[in-house]
Amino acid sequence: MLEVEGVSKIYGGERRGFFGRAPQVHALSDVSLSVRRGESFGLVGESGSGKTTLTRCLLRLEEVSAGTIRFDGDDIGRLSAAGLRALRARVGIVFQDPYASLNPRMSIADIVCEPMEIHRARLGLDGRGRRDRAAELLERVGLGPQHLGRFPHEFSGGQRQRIGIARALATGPDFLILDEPTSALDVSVQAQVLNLLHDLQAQLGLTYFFISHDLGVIRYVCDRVALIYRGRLVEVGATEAVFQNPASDYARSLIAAMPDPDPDRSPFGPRFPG
Amino acid sequence: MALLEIRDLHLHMRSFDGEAHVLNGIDLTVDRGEIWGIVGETGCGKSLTGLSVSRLVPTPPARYARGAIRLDGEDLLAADEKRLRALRGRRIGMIFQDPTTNLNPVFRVGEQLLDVALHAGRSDPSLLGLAPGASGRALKRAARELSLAMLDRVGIPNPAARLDDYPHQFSGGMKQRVLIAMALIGRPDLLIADEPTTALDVSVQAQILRLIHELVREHQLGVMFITHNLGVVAQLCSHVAVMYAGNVVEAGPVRDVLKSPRHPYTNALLAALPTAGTARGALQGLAGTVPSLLTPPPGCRFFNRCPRGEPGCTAATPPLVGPEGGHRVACPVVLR
Repeated sequence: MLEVEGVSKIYGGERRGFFGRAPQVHALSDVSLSVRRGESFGLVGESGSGKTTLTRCLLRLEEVSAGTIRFDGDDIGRLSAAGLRALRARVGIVFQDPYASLNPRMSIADIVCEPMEIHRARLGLDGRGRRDRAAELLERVGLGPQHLGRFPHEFSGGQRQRIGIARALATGPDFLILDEPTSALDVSVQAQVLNLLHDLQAQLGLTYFFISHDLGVIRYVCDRVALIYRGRLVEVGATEAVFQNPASDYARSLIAAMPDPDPDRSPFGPRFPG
Repeated sequence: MALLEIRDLHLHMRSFDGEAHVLNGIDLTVDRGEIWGIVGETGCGKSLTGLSVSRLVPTPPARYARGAIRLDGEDLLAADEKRLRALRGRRIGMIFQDPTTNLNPVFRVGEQLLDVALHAGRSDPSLLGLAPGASGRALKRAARELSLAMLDRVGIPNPAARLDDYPHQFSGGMKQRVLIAMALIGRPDLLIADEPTTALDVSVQAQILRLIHELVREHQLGVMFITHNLGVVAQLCSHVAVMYAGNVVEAGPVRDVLKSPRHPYTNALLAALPTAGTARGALQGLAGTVPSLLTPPPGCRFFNRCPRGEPGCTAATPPLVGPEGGHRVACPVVLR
């Protein structure tokens, strides 16, 4: 469904002062991966490894410096303005911080309807229809039509993330980019959101592109996983295969660094024998 | 005598909507060489417990309604500000979550470290290897030596050169190391670490945990390690206290609590954590929400979300029951 081929993104080299130029930053170097329809694809990397740059390139919020990104066979670098709009209706995105990604001055109805307004030509819904669909989406994510008139501050973090998911689904996308959707949430709430995502995928046949630095979550959610380090892909494969037989040193060290909730597997040995 | 004793601590916080009962009878004992993980979800009072020990909760708006905090027998709730200033940084070291906001961006790292070393050295010159009444110059030189030694100890390469760098020239993990050095420079007995690795990548987190573990071994520190990450607790801590809505609901040696959890909340937390064997869709969230602390329900505060709740649970706050220093649970239903 999504094919990324040899994508590089180089920032910088901009003028600095009169003669100087800033050093270039190779945010992505020769990244290739493909995401199959209906699967959950995980992207794991540390801060600064290029995860977000890659997602920005997928939505063509950034132009790639080299390589191509194909979505359903179409090279997104060559899309017309109308084609790009259509792409962005098919690709939804859920952001990391549910406190920052919802406008505090907009009601929940406005937040969920906004994407439908932008894509109204494609969706063909009038104001009434949009509001009905918003109510339906809220129900799908475990909220209800009674929440339409409320504002973000009235909701907890988990509920806000549900609203973010409803908004991402508003245009009826088949591909969802989930950029650390649970890292701002408590574990019990995280579990609810992960289960919701799982149910939605089963009901709507969505494809997920799941970004996280939490390997436990990735292992739970994803069919296949890619590890990115300093802008390069170091490993791609089926999740269990990568976790059980990591091929690269980086994958091995990352998996070893993941804190295991079993006290018997602590690297510091048994602290209280007996 | 235990290093730190918190007994039946009640903290009320004034707000526009009334007084919130944010800590509702905390009981905790931390001894030298023990690393206590304090876990719980947002708003359960784990950070306020840590801040209360260093008396950094402003009163008012907060008010200690009942209870005691004792450091080596000395009542910290009765101590005046002068005494507390002498304790902070000397007997009690602190590390916080975000290493970026805890260093002043306009001063060199060395200066900030030196400040702490000098403060500690003035109150106790022997810390710097000096006799009482040493000259200011000697004090400064010794403080610089100590700062260098500490930076080296926390694993900062080429510390002499880095002393003159500014915080922005350090990475997140390196900044956290500087802050650990700062917290330990006064040779404290008690270290309060409030989510010290939450803002860091896992590989850096692993290094910081290793460092804390080594330092505890070396100096026989007692540690309160506040976190919401059960994985980190399982790896690093010797003991754990699970908090919910201002109460410690389960406490004890880490292996006992995490391997055979008894309180329904601890069970729920562990069930919500995805691990290697969890089938997709099988993760169990916890329905419902934390009760309002302004008008807390009577009895057990977990009652409204508890799968094992009984009518009797709303009678009184359940006390922690179990052997002193052993596995203790605050739930009469599972104890029966």
